[in-house]
Amino acid sequence: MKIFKQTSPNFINQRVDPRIAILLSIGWAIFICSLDSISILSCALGMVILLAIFLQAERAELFLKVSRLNLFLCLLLILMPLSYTGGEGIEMFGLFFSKYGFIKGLAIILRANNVLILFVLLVSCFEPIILAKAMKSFRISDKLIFLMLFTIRYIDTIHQEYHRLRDAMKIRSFVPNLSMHTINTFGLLVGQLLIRSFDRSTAVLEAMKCRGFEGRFYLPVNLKFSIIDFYAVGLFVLSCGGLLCLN
Amino acid sequence: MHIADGVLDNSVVVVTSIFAGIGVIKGIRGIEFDDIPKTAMLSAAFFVIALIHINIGVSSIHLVLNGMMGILLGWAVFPALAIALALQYLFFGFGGITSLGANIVVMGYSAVICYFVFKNSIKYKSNIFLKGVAVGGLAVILAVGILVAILVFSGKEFYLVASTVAVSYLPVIVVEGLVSGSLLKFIFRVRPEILNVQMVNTKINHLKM
Repeated sequence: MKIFKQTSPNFINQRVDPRIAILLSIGWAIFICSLDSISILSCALGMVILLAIFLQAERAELFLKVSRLNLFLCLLLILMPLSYTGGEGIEMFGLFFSKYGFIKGLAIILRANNVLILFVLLVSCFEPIILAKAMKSFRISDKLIFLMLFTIRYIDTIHQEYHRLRDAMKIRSFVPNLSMHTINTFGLLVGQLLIRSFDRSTAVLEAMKCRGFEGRFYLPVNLKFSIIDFYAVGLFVLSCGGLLCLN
Repeated sequence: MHIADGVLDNSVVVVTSIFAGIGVIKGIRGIEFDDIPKTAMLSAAFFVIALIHINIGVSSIHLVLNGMMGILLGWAVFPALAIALALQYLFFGFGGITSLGANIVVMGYSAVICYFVFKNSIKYKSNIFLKGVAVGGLAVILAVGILVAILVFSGKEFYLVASTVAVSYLPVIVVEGLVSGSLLKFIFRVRPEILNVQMVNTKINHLKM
């Protein structure tokens, strides 16, 4: 089982500069989080969904990510109307559900979905190395960039290691339940995973030094802006301006 | 324990982002290029550990182990968490981009406090399993405390959400503490040098296994 799948070529990762994609996503996130009106947020969500249709985004992947997010947010939509006692609302099962609280909860759901969909469309589609180059051009510390690249590289390796250990436990008839034995076994499993990770990191460092590593990584940045990037910025400014006018 | 986009008040977003930035800068300055494979490997390991679920009745909880992360990485836990949380948002949709700072603060400061608690407690003779239980439980209590404070500062509409979160994490505190105890005992017995506490090697003989 692989956690990170290779990204398929699409309009964004082939034509748009990753620096522009990252900046627009962050700018859009800040802009959306500063909006309060439900109708404007609904319009913004509609625009992002239209963009997803235009870009022919992978529906299954997008749906999976959005549904994971909404699983937590649904709880918020139930709890927030209960936080207010006054104002308009309805009574159900002896509880007062405030309209104001519901609207606040709905606004959060619209904002979170909006930002996530745009981030999946614009940023998730890039290969990690391209994102690393974009981060480098933003003058982010080399250590942080290589930490990200190494982490992405080893998540799948350690995940496979975890499954090997779990399979070994399964063939020894281990069935997890709520007992001290299960807790202790999980502690040993995690401990073994950490020790193997540590050993692997030592081996990686030795292999790097063996190949002449001198405490410096090199990451050439060969990104170039194109006319598409200017259109993307123009579309972003128009969308934000349009939503502000509606507001 | 992930806060999504659009939940927090703008002032809370700014303040938590500054605190997260301070932690990440301090963590990055503390690590050398030679430490990157170790930090990344442990960051990846904790990313995978977060996928482990333990069944509790009809529900299940996933391990956080931020206390153990703090003990193993010290201040380097901040860049490791920043990467892990950004990747979780990018690839799974958990958390948020404007709330990334808040999520780092919740997990990171609790982990670093546990690191200092553990570092200072090593000189006292006591059962290592109990130390692990205390550190693991404390890490979740601190993380939930910071999370509740962040939600409360964001507005009174989050009071009920914050109290529900606090109550729902009670079983996690117990399970996390016990798993951390068992884990710390195992590491002390098998490979004590991986702990980010320099004095461990000299003090290990005084500790009851």
